[in-house]
Amino acid sequence: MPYKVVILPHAKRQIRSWSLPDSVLVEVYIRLGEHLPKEPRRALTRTRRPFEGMAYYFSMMDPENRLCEHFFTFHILYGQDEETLFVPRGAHVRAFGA
Amino acid sequence: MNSEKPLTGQSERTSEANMPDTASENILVRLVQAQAQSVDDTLKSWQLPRGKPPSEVGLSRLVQIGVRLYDDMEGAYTEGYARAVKDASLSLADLQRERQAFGEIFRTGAQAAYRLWEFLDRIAKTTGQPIKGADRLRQTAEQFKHLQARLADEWPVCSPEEEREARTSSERGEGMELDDAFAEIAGVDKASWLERVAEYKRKHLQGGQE
Repeated sequence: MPYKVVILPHAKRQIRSWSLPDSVLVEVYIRLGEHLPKEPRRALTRTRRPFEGMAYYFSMMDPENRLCEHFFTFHILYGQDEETLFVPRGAHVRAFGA
Repeated sequence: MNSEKPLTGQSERTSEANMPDTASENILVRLVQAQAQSVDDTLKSWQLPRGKPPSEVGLSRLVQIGVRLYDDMEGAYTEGYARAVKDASLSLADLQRERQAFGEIFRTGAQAAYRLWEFLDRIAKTTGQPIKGADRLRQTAEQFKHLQARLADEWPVCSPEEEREARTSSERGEGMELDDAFAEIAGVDKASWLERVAEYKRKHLQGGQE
């Protein structure tokens, strides 16, 4: 069953601070909103702690600049209802290469 | 320490040729071995005067090493941050452990740099001779604090405490559904955002298929 994804305030501030190009921001939205909820158990690196959380990694070439690759990691938390995924944090790195 | 033996001057550096390294290294070894809580005690235990004072060369070397320590740690953090984002083999637990380790290093670094600055300042006041570059250590302590703030702000995963806060925040309904959140991030209304996504899919995802 697809999960609902909810962005928490710190993650929202972080994503805004990355100043991503429009196309990359849309890609991030698609990854979080469509890829992640469909197969979270495959997409996520799972670990068991007092609260369950996971790291979700993905990368993409910048559609506007093929020399630029964007890497992302997001912290994902399972909701108590087991139908919601919360995103409390994330990180982004740009890499430039030939 | 008496003022008849100034810390500056070629003659002193020559006559106490072995002192700078020995004195500096003694302090450094003790600093490195000390945990964050004991840095203060370590410096306090270094009574002045204890035999011959370390020369200006040795003290300046302490400054250089403190500053270099920061440069090394900043470099390590930059690399560690890139790895945390790019290396998908790292689990959440790995990322949390790494965050904790960096946090401890930065906290210890800030304390050590500040205590070292206090220590050198005390020597300078006792001898009436300023230690070259000592103020840079106070700056270094601030830089370590800045790294702590960066770590807290930008590291990809929560600390265990933040994870608990995030859960509380989610229970209070402080999160936003993805459409709304991204529309706000993009600075447009939700309908415009969804149109932008649809347009992107038409152009880049072969007729809207992923």
